[in-house]
Amino acid sequence: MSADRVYALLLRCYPARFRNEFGPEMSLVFRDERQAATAAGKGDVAFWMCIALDIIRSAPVQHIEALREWAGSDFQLEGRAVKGFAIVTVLAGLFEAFNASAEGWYGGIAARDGHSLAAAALGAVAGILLVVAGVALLRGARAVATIVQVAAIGCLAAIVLAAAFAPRLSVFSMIVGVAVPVVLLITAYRGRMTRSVA
Amino acid sequence: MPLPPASFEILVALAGGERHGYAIMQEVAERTGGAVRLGPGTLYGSLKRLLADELVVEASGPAKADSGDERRRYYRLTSLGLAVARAEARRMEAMVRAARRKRLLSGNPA
Repeated sequence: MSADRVYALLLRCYPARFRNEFGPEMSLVFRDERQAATAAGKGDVAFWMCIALDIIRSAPVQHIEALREWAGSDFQLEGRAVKGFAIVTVLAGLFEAFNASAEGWYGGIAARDGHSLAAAALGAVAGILLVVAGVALLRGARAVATIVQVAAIGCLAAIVLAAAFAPRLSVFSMIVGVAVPVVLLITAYRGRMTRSVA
Repeated sequence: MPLPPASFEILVALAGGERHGYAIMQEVAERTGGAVRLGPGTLYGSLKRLLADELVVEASGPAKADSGDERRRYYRLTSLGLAVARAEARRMEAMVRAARRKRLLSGNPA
């Protein structure tokens, strides 16, 4: 694989917008730098280390700036981003529902503990609501933003109630049950989910 | 202000006239004796900010591009960019004077 091809692949570390705007020039500059380094007798290892360090320093900065621009603007989610996010939401919901069911079985039914059973039921409801939100995003449902908002708020409420019933609800389950709805709410309130998945 | 170091280096490079990206990198490396080397990511990340802040604009470039490659874009300072570069240079000059007064640097104090 040629050095230019390797660098073209490394450019994928940068956000798409940045890559689209500056990628061709960066490739040119890389080519010029490579020729200069070869002419100066600079070794491959030293050259590629400089390139890697440059990417490690600059790519995260561009991602943070892209996130700031997205959060600060009335930004419509692009098709692939919506699809990816929706899949993550569905998977998180399935995990939440399965985890809650397992906790309900072992902590509730097996131990005959009503509180644990109630917490598990609420956890399962939270998971199902996440799945509903994710499916609504994937199918590009009508009033998708409203469905997502209602599902996310319902999920948050269910998780908070579940934690009240069973303070020993797993931390990971809590994190998923809170983090995903919060991100959904931020997305639904700050952006418009009007585009269906491409 | 203060400007990130890479941004200031780019503004100083462009104070000599419009340049494309690789020429900016070369100028910075030569002027600093190799102490400052801008990688493509650092260079274009800084250029993106400078363009957004209107300190730099894209220029038309020479009539016949030296590389013959139409992907090469030229940049030049705006009047605002020149003013900011001068202000930053004055700020650094004041810091150097203060350092000399405190005998942190050799040379006669101002």
